Amino acid sequence: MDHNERFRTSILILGKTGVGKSSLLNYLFGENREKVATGRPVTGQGIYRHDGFPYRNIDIDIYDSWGLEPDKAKAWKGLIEKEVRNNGAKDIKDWFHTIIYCVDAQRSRLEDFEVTDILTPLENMGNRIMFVLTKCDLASEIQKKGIREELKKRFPERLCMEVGSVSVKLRSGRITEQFGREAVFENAVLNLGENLFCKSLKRYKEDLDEYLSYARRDVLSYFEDQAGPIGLFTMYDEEFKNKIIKKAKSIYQNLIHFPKKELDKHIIFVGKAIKEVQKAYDLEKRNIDLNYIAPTSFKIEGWDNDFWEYVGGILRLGRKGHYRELVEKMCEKACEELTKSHERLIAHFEKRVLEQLKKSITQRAQ
Amino acid sequence: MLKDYEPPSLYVINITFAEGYMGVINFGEIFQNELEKFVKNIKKPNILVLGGSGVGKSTLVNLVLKREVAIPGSGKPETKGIITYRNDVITIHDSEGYESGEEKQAYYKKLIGDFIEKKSLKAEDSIHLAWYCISAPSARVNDVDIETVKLMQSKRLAVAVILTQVDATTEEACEQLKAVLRENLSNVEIFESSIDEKIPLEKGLNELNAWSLEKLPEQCRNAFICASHRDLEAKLEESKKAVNVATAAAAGIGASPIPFSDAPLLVAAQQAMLVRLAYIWDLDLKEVIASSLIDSIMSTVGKSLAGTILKFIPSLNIVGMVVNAAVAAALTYALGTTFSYTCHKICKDQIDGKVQDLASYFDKDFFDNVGKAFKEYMKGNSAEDDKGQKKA
Repeated sequence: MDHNERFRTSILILGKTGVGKSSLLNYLFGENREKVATGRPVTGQGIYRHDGFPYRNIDIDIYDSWGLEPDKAKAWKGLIEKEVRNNGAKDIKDWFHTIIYCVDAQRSRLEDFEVTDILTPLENMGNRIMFVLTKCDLASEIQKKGIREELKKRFPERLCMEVGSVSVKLRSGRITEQFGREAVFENAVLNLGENLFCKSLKRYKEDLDEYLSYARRDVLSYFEDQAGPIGLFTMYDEEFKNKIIKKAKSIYQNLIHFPKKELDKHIIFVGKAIKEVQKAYDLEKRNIDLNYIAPTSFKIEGWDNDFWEYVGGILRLGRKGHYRELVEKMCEKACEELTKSHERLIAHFEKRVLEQLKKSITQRAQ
Repeated sequence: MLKDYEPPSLYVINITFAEGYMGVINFGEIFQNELEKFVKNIKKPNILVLGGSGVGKSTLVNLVLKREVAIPGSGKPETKGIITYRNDVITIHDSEGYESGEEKQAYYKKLIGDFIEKKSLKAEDSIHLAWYCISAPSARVNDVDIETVKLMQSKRLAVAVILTQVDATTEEACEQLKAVLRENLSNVEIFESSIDEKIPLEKGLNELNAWSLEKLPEQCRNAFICASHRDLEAKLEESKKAVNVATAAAAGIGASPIPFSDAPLLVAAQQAMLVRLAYIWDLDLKEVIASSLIDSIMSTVGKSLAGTILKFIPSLNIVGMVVNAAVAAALTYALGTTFSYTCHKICKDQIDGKVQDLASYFDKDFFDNVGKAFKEYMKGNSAEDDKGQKKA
């Protein structure tokens, strides 16, 4: 990133039709960018980028989206999931850094569809959704409490902000007030590090799984190649065994570099983001240690021994199927070990990095 | 007064009023008999209420109907499929609010369609009206809303669309919603509802009430009027009809040439009228019966009117044992009208939440008013008679 270039982040706004997504966007921008109307749904089937809202030292792109219509739920889910997935495949700087899900504060609950078909899959993709209760100026305290409880029950760790996006004269004569804008920006920015971190780790796990399946495929195809169609082995064909193990090792060693490289890239970006956030809020420049996080070497305890033990004892002439099972077992073990290492990484992250991030933010709150 | 003054011509009147008090005629029992007859002939209106989840269907029902029929709540929707609320005067089918998802939407439309079909198989079950609710603050009319209304219209069901919670949105938003509805639906009746009754509405719940009444079959009218507390004017109108019918009947009975035959008939006609009035105004009929209110009203009316009535019977020389037609009519009219106005007052007090003991409404004022109404009726009638004679 160029030094003169400002840091950019992005917010994607999702929710049911009529919940007030476009109104929220207009309120966040402080100008009418999106068409807002009553009656039929207005925002077309897609995701619409509005770029460059300058907030402190950060530029925020905001994406409005097509609202969920009750009878077009599948199409909506398809579109949103596709967009978010495609977006996740892009460079981290172009990800949807923050996803806001709007809920009408006057509703007492989330629909099953919203939870099972949208929110949960998005969370599973590593997004930490921020909830915005819209039309809070119209909702009673009881209503707000009701929906807050519902959200807390379903997504206990997620933030929930109250917003009133428009100032209008209601038929009751009351004039509604706009409020909650600063809180939306602040929460989006302050949680940026954490959000991106979580998503990066999730991404790492997905990449890892993907590469593990490639590795398994490669090892087995190498085995098939070496064994030949009939599978001619002798009891003492150590050369063959060594060949397989050596190849497998190199395949697995190689593969972890790909997800790791991606993760490293992401972590660097997260680090930048955190620095920008610290700058935005004049937070104490804590050095949040991010480097140890990515595994650099690969070691599977006892892999060789196990393999030898199995193979040495049972290898028979022509018993290719059995031999193949052993190679498969070997791959499984590698997969298990790598997954474990990932879990250790997550645990480590949660214990150290997350705590540090939280501390720096709470410090500000005080 | 009655004790030391017993002209023979008042004998029948005495039977009708004073003697009832003495146990010759048990008004309460007659009232109860008439009530049973009446209730047997009542047809309950069946109303289907629809709309999305949380648009305020239950709230609407409770705003229109006097007694809380559907209890609104928050949290999970209370209705699975279609919940039916019944009381002795009305049946409300509250459909489950639709949710997002193609399957759920298809299921919803099928549910509604099948339900209407199924109910139409039996005359007393068939749906008379549908109220379709759309939340005005939600600012959206969805395809499913339009399709469901069309579905019902295709089944020849009278559908009213109600924009709910209009107090929590702007005037323009409501107008836009109405325009969208009109654009997409032909022949659609749109009403607005708000918990805040102070907001002026072009077509509000009173209009919904009137529309519903108009769309209901004749036999259901009384029950709907009874169930509704929206439109006290409609109740007054209906009361007037009931009083007029009874007055005409009383005049006919009064003109009966057979001595003594008229009293029980007259009593029955009057009691039938009171039953109808009590029903229209949804008085607590159990309480009415239990408190022997009717007995005490009738006897007091008899006593307090005896003197007045005497003045209006100019010719004591005729048989003297028959209540003349005019008196019978006037009595019935006076009783009915005063009873209606008193019920009106009770109803208002109920709405304002300051209802008192039922018996306390039938106080001295009540009987004075009966007397006044009686006099007015007699005067009005004789004036008309005069006119008639002059013309002749």
